[in-house]
Amino acid sequence: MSGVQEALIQVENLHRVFVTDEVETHALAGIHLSIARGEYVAISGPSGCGKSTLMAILGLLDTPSEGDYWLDGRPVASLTPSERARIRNRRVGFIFQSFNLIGDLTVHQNVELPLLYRRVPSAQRRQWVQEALDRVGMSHRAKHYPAQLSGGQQQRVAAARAVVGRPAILLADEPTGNLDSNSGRAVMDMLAELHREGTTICMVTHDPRYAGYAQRTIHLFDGRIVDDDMAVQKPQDSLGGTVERRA
Amino acid sequence: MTTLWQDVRYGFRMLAKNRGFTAIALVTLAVGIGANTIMFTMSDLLLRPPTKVKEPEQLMYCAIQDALFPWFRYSAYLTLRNSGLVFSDCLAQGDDARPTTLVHGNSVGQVRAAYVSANYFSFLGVAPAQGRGFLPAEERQGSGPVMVLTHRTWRRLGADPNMVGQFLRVNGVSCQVVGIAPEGFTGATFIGPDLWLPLGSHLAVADLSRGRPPRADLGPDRDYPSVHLVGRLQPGLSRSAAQAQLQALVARFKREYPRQWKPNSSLALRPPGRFFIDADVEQEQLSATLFSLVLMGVSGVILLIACLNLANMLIIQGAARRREMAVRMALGGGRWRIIQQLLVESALLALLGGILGLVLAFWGTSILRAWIGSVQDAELRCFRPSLNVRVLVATLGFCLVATLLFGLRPAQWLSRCDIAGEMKDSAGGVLGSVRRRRRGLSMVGQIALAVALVLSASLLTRSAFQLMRPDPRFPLEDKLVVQIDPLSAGYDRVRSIQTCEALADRLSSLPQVKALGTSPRLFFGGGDVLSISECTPAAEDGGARRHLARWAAVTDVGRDYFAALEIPLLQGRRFNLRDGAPNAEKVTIIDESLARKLRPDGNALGCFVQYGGFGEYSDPYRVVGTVAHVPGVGDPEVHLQMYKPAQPDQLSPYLYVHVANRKAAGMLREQIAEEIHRIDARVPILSIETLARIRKADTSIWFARFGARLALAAGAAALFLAALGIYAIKGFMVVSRTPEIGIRKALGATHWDIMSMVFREGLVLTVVGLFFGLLLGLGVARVAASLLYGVSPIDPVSVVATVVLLALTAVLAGLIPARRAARIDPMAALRYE
Ligand SMILES: Nc1ncnc2c1ncn2[C@@H]1O[C@H](COP(=O)(O)OP(=O)(O)O)[C@@H](O)[C@H]1O
Ligand SMILES: [Mg+2]
Repeated sequence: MSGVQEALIQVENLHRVFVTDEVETHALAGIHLSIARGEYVAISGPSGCGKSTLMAILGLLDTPSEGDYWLDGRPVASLTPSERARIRNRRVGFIFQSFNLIGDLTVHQNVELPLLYRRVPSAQRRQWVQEALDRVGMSHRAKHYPAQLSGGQQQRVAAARAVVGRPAILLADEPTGNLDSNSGRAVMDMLAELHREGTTICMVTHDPRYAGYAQRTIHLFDGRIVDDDMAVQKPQDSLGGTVERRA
Repeated sequence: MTTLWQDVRYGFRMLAKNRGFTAIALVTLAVGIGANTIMFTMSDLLLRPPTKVKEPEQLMYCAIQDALFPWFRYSAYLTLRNSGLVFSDCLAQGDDARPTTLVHGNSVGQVRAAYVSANYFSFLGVAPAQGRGFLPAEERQGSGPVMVLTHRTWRRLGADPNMVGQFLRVNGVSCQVVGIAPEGFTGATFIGPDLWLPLGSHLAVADLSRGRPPRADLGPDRDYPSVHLVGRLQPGLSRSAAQAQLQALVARFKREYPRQWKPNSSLALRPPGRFFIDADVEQEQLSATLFSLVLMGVSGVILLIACLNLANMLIIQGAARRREMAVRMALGGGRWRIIQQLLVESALLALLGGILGLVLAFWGTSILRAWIGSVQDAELRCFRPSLNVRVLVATLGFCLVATLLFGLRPAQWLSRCDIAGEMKDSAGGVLGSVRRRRRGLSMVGQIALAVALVLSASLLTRSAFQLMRPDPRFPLEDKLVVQIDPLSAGYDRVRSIQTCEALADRLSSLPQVKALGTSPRLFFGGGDVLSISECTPAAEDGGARRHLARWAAVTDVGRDYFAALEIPLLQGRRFNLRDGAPNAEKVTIIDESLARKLRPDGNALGCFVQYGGFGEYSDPYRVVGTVAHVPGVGDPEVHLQMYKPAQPDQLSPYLYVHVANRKAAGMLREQIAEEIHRIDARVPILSIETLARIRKADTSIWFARFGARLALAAGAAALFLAALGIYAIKGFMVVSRTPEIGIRKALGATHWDIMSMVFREGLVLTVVGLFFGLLLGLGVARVAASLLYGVSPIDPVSVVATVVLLALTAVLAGLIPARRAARIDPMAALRYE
């Protein structure tokens, strides 16, 4: 069990079953996975294979139907809802495919949100927000509203919001899915930068070009890990070919 | 037409689709329209009191102006009727409002009798439902007494189908029932008597039976009461021409009734009052209109709140439909088409709400009827609001007004939407909510109106409580008032006096009775149109007289009145037996306020006072004692009080019993009834009540309570609507912002963070509304300060109560949406993005 202690994320035999209208969907069917501190992991697989479900469970937004999950060496199954909220707030950062910025709040206020829920004093809040916006290169737009920004800029703000609280892990679910290729590349470069600065990243993508940014790529199919490729330098096109064949 | 039908069908589909919205909207409208319908039934009753009289617009009341008193002697009525001038026919109605005792088997009650000319029913064009009206012979003095009952009295007596022909005792005189009036007929006026007797019965039934001999100085008129005169103008005769012709009689009247008719007295014609025959119909109309305006104003505010509320909800709900509107416009729907469709939807809502409102109003008016039925004042009890065709039409009108009020602005707003902006709206990267600006004003407006109503209601309620609270110096719960009517048993005056004395003796020896007093009239504070002046006994009538008060109370009291009522003696002495003797010196006991009026230091013993009315003055009375002032009921004015001893031949049928233990009062009531029954089973007991209950039933207190209840109901309705509004707004906010709430939870917001966010939503608007509402309410209270009794218009208790109530309402209304928001599953919320 020594590996458990070292890993930031450790899941064993994870299952997630959705029951809707008496139809059971096995979104996850026995996942074993361990992510170490400082790793950059990409999760890929065809649509509907359970990527988002896995991310939600890792981010404590959802609970597994079966199986164990240790975050930072601590089992999360026994946490109360408010403890889960606290961990989401302090340990996890989310980036979503559709940015999900709040339209009524300015860029600054959006980024500040996790710190507000953490009751960080205002002076420190201002400083951290400034730093986060600087890191994603968006500090000049702090007073703007999200609707006034392009998609790529919005996603950078979303990334700032995700990292402002210095989370242990950044979960990004298809961060480039709604972006054109230029903006997409910019966001990927930014994630790579964050990773270099020490952030652990777990990213879902089914774009093989972007999977190459990660050190490790996990392939999901029908709720199972079919391939866990630890190789750091893998030719990008051959990887893409694999994914396409499987889909 | 077909497009309208399409719109209606589409509207129904929309309402069925958004069930939650529809339910809240319907309840809101039902309350708004229901409240207006209820208030309208009252206004309708006040402004258009129903009457069964045929062609009432032909009726003219004949008034005597600038005379000593404004009613006709019977002989003058005959003169006018027989003159053939002006009227094709005219009726006379006695001016006698004294209560009458009606005994039928075991039922004993006080009723109002009207003495009328024999042509009364035929003149008004109403045939009795059973039996007949009066015969000309019955108008003449000395014919056997007969009467016609109102339908209501007949029903109250058991609705006996064989009532006609039976004999009932009226003031102890056996009277035969010859007819029963049709249902709803109240006579020439809306406020009517309980039974009618012909003028010829007045002497026997109203005077002789009560021990009042005919006034010999009136000549042939001594056998009849003074009367009011109402005629129907001859066809084709205008009112002014008729009035001019009538003056021919004035000279004759001045000759024949020199004491009543002054040199400048004249006759005038005017429509009879709707409520009181001799009232000025325009004055009546004016006060009824004013009262109605207040009622409709209050319910109008409720409707306004409801509409503001709905406009809000429509805009919020409409935000979700902007896309639909954009598509319709893109497909070529004109702006007016869209406004029309939205207005049809609003009208549908309003109509359905109106139907529910009618149900509410039906229920509300029956509660109102019950409240009104509880009033002591028999005249007020005539007001029985109920739904009718006019009310239905009015309700329909309210629906229309509501549609325009709440539907127009959202329709305009929605129809103005920016097509391109809506259509290109991409898979939203931005989680937006409806801009809040739009509803700021209506939210503040409705909260302010609700707060103003609640504040007024709490002021009126506090005032009613102040009014109801008896003066602690005069405990009323331990004082029983027994009212008996030995004259109605058929006893003559002497025997009646003996009976009262015997009963008083017997009751005062009961173990629980601490003291027992008597008086000829029920008196406990208050005043009357009587003047009091100081005089010097030496001077003859018209000598030195110092006028002290125009409105005062002069009361005859029997034995131990002050002791039984615990009215403290401040100076001098109480009455003794000798004071009442026929040739004794005339002495009086006055209250402290009169004493201070007489002598600033209050030491008025030995002063002489006299009282007067209608230009006549009593003998001088020497002051022998001063007692505490007894406050009137519901009247903050201090009226001077003067007591004089009852004469030995004066009947004192009111017995005041001071009970040793106030908890025993209830038990003692039954014991007293049994005791009276044992001593003389024939003596009718009119009532045995504690003074506290009598006071509570007083008309002024009833009115204060009635007003407070109405205001409370209105305030509750307004608060309820405000709560619904807050609930709806927060509910919609939670629904429309579900993804945003999901994100916030993903970012680590706890349950409490989310709940407090929902609570904070609209908080500023609520506080601003509260502020303006308090200002508005205090402003209204200042203007209407004269309606408040013992409460300052800026009453901190009411203000605090209002704030607390609003806060509670806001919290309660926010609770369900807040909990729903807190339970939002971020996973599910984000899947809907
Ligand atoms: N809340 C839910 N209720 C029912 N089924 C769900 C739910 N969430 C996901 N699923 C199902 O689980 C499977 C995996 O979904 P998801 O994790 O979103 O796939 P993806 O890999 O495309 O992100 C799909 O078949 C999806 O329909
Ligand atoms: Mg997905």
